[in-house]
Amino acid sequence: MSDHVVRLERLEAAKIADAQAGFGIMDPGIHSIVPGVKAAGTAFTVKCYPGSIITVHRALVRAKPGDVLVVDGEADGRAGALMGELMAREAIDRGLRGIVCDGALRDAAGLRELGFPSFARYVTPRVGVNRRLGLTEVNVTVGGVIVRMGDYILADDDGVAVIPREQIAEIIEKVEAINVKEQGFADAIDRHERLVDILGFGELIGVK
Amino acid sequence: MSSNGTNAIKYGERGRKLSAELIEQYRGVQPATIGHMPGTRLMTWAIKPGYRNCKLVGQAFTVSSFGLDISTTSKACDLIEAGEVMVVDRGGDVENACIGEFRALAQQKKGVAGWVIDGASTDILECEAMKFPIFARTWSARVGHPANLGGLINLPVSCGGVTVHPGDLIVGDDNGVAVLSPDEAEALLAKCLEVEAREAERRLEYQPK
Repeated sequence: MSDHVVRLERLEAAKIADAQAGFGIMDPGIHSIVPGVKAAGTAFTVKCYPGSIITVHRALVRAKPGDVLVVDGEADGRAGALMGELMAREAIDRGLRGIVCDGALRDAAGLRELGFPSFARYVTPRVGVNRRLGLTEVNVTVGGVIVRMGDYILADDDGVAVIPREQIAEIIEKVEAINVKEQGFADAIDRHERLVDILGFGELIGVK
Repeated sequence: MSSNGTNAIKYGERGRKLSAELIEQYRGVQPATIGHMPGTRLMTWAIKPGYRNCKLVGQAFTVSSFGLDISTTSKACDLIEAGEVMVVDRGGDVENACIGEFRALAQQKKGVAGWVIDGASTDILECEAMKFPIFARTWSARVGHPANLGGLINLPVSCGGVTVHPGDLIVGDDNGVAVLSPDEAEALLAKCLEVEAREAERRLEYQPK
C-alpha cells in the first residue's frame, strides 16, 4: 500500500471536504452499506449500463490490489444490483479495498459479515443481468463527481470524497494541519470555552 | 478547489477546436440518432430545454460552481466565446438559478450558442421569447449569489450524469442532450448523417401518395 493511502486511511471524508472547499464530495445518496468501515485507495473506474453487472466482473479481473471500484451505474436501482456477496468475497481475495457504486448492491448482510467497504445509492434483492458490456478504465461521473483512474477515494460513514490524483500530497497535508488545529478547538471546548469565541463568530451572530 | 487558503477558481484549457463546417452539419443530427451509436454519452432526461423546438449545437465551455454561489459562472460569462456552449455543474444544487433574462440577453448578444445547466435557471418566459437555448434540470424563482466559493473553469465537469470535457461537442434538442468528444464527433458524423438521410426516406414512405 502506498504511503499516501496509509496516511489517507487515517483521515475522515468530512476533513477532505473542508480541505477541498466542498468540491469532490459525492451526492449524499451514496452512503455506507457497511457501517463503521472506511474505503481508502485508488479508483478503478467502471461504467455500466443500468443493472448490467457483467462490466463489474470485468473490473474484478482487471483491478489491482489497493484499488477501490468506482462504478457509474447511472444512479439506477431498479434494473438490478451491480455487486453482491460472492463478488465482494472475490474482491477481498484480490486485495481490492472497497466499492463505491452509483447504483445498487445486494446481500447487505453478507457484505457486513465480510466487512467489505461498500458504498451505494441503493440496496436491492434483484441481481443485475449480463446484458451489455460497458467500459472500464474511463473517466466516470459517480454521485455527481468526476472520477478518473488513479484518483484517490476516501469513503466513511459520512459519505464519499474524491481527491484528484495530482493533489493527493497537498490535500493530505492540509487535512493533517486541519486535524491539529481542530484538536486545539476540542481541547478548548473541554476547558469550557465556547465555539463562537474560538471561531470568532460572536459579532456575526450578535452574541457577546 | 482551494489550494492556498482562499477559494480560488481553477482553470484548465479549452479543448481542440472543431471546424465550423462540422459543427454546422451536426445541426442536422438528432441527439436520439447519436444515442444509437455505441458508447456515446447522453445526459439524463431530466435536463430539458426551456421551450419546444429548441436546438443547441456547439463546443463545451465547462464550469463547476458550488451551491448557491454564482461568482464562478459570472467569471465564465466573461471568458466564453461566440459559438461555445456553457456547460454548468452546480454540484447538486437545484434551488439557485445561475442565469436569467439579462445574463441570457448578454450571452446571446455575445453569440454564445446556449447553456446546459445541471441545476436551475430562471426567467423561463423571457428566455423562450428571445429564443436563447437553455437546457436545465429545473426553473426556479430563487437566484444564486456571488459568494466566491471557488470553482472550476474549463476542467472536466459532471452534467446530467455524464462527464463533459472542455471542447466536447454538445448536441441538444427537445429529446435530450448528447455529448461527443472532438474525435467522436469527427468519426461519427458520416454515420449520423447516413441515419438521418435514411430516416427521411422512410418518412416519405408513410406519406399519402
